[in-house]
Amino acid sequence: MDYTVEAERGRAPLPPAKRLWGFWEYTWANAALAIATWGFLIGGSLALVVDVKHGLLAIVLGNVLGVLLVGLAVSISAGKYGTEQYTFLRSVFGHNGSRMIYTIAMILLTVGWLVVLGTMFGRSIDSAISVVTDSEPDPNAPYIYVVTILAIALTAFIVAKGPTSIKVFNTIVAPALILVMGFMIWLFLTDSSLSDLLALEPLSRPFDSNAVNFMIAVEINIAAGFSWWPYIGNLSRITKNERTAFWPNMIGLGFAASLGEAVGLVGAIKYGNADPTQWMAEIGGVWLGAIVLVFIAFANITSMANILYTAVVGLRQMFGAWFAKVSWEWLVIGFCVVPVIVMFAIPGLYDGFMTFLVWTAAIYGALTGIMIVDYFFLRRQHVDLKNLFIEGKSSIYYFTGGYNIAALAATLIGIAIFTLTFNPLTFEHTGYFRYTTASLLAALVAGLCYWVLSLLIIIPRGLGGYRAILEKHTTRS
Amino acid sequence: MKHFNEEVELSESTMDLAAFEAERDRVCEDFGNREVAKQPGQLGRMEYLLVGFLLAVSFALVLLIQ
Repeated sequence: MDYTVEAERGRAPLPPAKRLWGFWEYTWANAALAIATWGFLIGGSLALVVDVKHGLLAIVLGNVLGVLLVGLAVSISAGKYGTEQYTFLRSVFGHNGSRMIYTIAMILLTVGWLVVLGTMFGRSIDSAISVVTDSEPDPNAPYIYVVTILAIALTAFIVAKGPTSIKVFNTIVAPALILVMGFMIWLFLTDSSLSDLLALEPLSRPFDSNAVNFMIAVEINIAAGFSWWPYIGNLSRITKNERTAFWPNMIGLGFAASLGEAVGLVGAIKYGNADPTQWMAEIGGVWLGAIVLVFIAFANITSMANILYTAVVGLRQMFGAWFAKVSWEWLVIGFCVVPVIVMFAIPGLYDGFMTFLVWTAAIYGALTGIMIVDYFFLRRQHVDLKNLFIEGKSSIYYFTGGYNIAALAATLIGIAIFTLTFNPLTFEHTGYFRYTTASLLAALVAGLCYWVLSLLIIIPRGLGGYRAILEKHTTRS
Repeated sequence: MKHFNEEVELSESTMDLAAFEAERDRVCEDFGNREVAKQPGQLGRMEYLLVGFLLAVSFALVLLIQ
């Protein structure tokens, strides 16, 4: 075996000299991931809550808050140590706890997105056909299920071929999507001035209070920022140092995602439909509209391939012993069976995707708060790399039976706080929601609980290697 | 840093699992020894203050705009 190849696959820390990306390389890689079709969906969802002006403000502020916090939690340590994200997570949750978090946090989101983007592929094709044949689109036609399965199968085929084929798709689709977005903005402005667009009213207002509606829009965007949590750690570890691992997130993820969301928001309000596959059918005439829709359909495949690849790499790393004899191709195929089942089990996932996205923020908010407290306050930015890779009780990160009870308890408390504060399904909320948001509050409470539980239970029992760090700091000072 | 890079270069050749794990442990220990000093590209105090400032301003704007 080759050390660098194995390190790239996550089995060892990647030494700084072997890391590929500088500041702009990482910015571009991030932007390629963020400039994706999900931006249109998130923007379209905002149209159901706020007007264009407040929507644009919510997009910028929500993304700054979400992306900065996730970057602090995940990217800085990855840029410093070059370890695979879920291997590093052992220092917080223990070896088995890390596997549990991977299973919940990574698989949940990846499967959800595969269903949503696969359905968007199917609906884009349906809308393109309806534009060309001058018929009414049927977003719930049974054949869309078949097309969605084909989209998932095509994604599996690309990912089974390995990262080179994904890179080829990224290189073509990401710049082309920027052109498509530029084209859409130009179309928006051909028959409306900028001030006309900014004055557009929302498609609906869930509450009489504009303040609450605005906070729901901010919450959706913080959720979008937090939703990078499962993915960016394994991208940040390829950067040369902490600085190049952190700041490009703001440009690559924050700005690029905001652009797609802004186009989705304005398009949805201007053409009166939150579903981007529906309003895109109305722009640019018959053939131009159809071409854009077919392109958007295939752009979904790129997004799906990116997240599927990251998920399967993590699966191999976390459950290497279980899947040692399963080939890469069969692992990819096996993973893709899950979204097909979920698509039939939860048929309304695409239309209710905003609810799904905001629910995931309950988990990622809590995880973000806990990781920030652990790395910056309890460990003072020092982790024993060697022990991350030692399996079993001899590792200082084994905690109790492979689980850090304090981290698991704080995660549950964070999720509970989120659900008590805000219900993404009904938008029901507490009185303080408009001052705290749900996801930021969940992050704060989970982080504080983790800190207290660690000080009271974990550190006094000599678990987790915290004492050595404290002693080192005491000796130095 | 030069010493560190050279040793990793030497380890590029094909190795068995035990050799790989030994090399991984060596890389980890080497990193541990060097991390006492400030790393190249490590975020400084001013950058953390900037992050805090951006977070505070963004949240304050959210409260003001509503």
